[in-house]
Amino acid sequence: MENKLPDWLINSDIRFEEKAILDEYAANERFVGNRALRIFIVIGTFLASTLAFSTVLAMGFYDSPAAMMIIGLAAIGFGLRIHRQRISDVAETFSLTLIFMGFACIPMALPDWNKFIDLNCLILMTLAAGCFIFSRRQLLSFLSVISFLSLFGLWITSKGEPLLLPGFSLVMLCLMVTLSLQEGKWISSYRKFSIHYLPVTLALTIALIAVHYLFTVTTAPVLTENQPVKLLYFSIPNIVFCLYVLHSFSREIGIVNVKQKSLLLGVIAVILLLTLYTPTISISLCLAVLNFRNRYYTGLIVSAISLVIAIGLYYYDMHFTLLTKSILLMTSGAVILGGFLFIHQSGKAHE
Amino acid sequence: MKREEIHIIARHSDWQAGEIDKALKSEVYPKPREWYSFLKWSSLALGATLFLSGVIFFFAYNWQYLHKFGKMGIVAGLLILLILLAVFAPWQTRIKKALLISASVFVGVLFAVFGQIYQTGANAYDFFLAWTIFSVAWVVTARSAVLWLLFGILLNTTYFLYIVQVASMPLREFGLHIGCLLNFGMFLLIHFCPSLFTDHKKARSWLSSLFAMASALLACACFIMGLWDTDKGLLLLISVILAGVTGLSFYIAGISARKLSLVVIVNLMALVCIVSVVLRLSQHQFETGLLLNMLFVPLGLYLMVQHAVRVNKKWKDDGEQVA
Repeated sequence: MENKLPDWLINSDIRFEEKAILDEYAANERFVGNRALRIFIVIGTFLASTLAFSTVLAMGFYDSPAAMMIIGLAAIGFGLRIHRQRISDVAETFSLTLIFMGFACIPMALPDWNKFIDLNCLILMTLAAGCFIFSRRQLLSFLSVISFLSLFGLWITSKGEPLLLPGFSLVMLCLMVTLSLQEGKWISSYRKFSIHYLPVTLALTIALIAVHYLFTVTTAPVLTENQPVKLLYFSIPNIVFCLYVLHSFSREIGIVNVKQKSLLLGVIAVILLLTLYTPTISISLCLAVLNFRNRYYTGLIVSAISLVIAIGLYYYDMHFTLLTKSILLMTSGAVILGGFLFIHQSGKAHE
Repeated sequence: MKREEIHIIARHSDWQAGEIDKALKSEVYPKPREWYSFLKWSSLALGATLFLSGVIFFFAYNWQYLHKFGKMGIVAGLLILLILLAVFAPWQTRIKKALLISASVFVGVLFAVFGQIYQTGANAYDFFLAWTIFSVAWVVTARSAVLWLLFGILLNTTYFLYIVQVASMPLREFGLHIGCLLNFGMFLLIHFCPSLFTDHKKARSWLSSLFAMASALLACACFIMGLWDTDKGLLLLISVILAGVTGLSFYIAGISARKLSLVVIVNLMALVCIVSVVLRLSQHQFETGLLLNMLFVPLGLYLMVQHAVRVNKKWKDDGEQVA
């Protein structure tokens, strides 16, 4: 970004705050760092907060819930205060260390999780929401959203109601789709919160994938034993949204012909119906398309990896012999390669 | 115009939603051509992976029924086919390099099949040694960073298996040190003979950073081991010298080549080593050691970050940062 306003903005009818825009350009220049440096800051912050937390424990404070709560809240408050001032990368590291340490201390101050899970989740979710509201940088924003969603998921799981989890997944998916399809509307309606746009979409991507892998995969951890899950409650909304997303993007993809659009949607619908009892495939595909369209490559890589694993698990879980599986793999591979040739020929024809 | 710029302007203006969407569509979102590439290459990758997996499973199902010459013939035949295609096919260099990478992997498969059919009693070290030696020719001629990375993994695996399975006691004691020197040697080779590896600066950069990280990790492990092994003063001395030499070399290389990743690696090494020293010195008073580390680590970390940020800014202002 250059440190001056673009000409099209100066010549337009839009009313803008010049100083605020230039200040933010300058702040971004100061903070946009090298990738190795960012990784170092994250590792260093984690190390420092682990040491800080260990010191608190070693000093014997864990015996006193009140002391742990005071230390936790003070650390979070002080950390947020430094974070809001946005002085430098160094101060940012210090603030994150305090916030992480605070979040590590507070669960130790809360009452018995088995009896008071509702209260504990509510307290931690409130703190996470507070951190999100006060955050000014993407890392803290992302971590607060993912913490909030994880705690909410934990609370829902504790209830044991079969429809709550699919409902939670559906709400997250709705939010993800509307954020992606109406980015302009969102950032114009909630201007000050537009800084959280990318962290929220990444957090939703990861949360959606995590919920599906934890609760719909047959080889998922212990949680699935306690949480009765109907796979179709996940699959059907995923498929509907997947088709809706492709329908919305068809013009951007370059498909304007109704016949071609119907053919594309039909093919995708057939593929997804074949994987009806593997909702991880439909959600990964939907998220990959959304993240590619939004040009958010971190989200795209996460969803692409998830898609590959989901497809692998789909074939692995098939109750067929190795010979039958090999024939199925070769057939589906050949069909998709046929699709590649068709797309390649269509592209050549357009040229 | 990037998305970030659009968001900043939107935050501090009355820019309307429709106009923001138009700007995003024209400047940020992919065009039909990019969608076409994405769909084309994704379907190729997915289709090829599924088809090849099917072929592998088919052979796995029928493997026990195949004659031993058939088994060896299939793998050797595929290997020869890959090499012939890499040499003679009129394809792009990228595809030919990918074929050579596959051929290097197939060398390992050939040796594994050979070992399965003829139970010679060879151990894993022998298998990896043969694989490494027979990959050298293609690694050197292909000049592909990915192939060099594969070679590096094979070299390290062969070496550490040698230390565990074959080496005598004196050599085993200095196993980590020699491993560190091995990776440090690879790093120096990339630094001083870059043309041997690849023409792409970025690929050379991440390859050298990976070898530097491996070397740094081993140097730290040697240092910690030397620190806690109180009976062996020589081991500690050698570990300190090794950590010092590698750290200093990475720092000088990082500053001269303007690679921040090397500076960061040195900072991490220093952090880990000093934490270890403090814990070792206060081993009988654990809480004191922890408190000292808690005071030192954040302070040291912040000073290091400040130094790295300052160096990064200076290079950015000069316009010559490498990685």
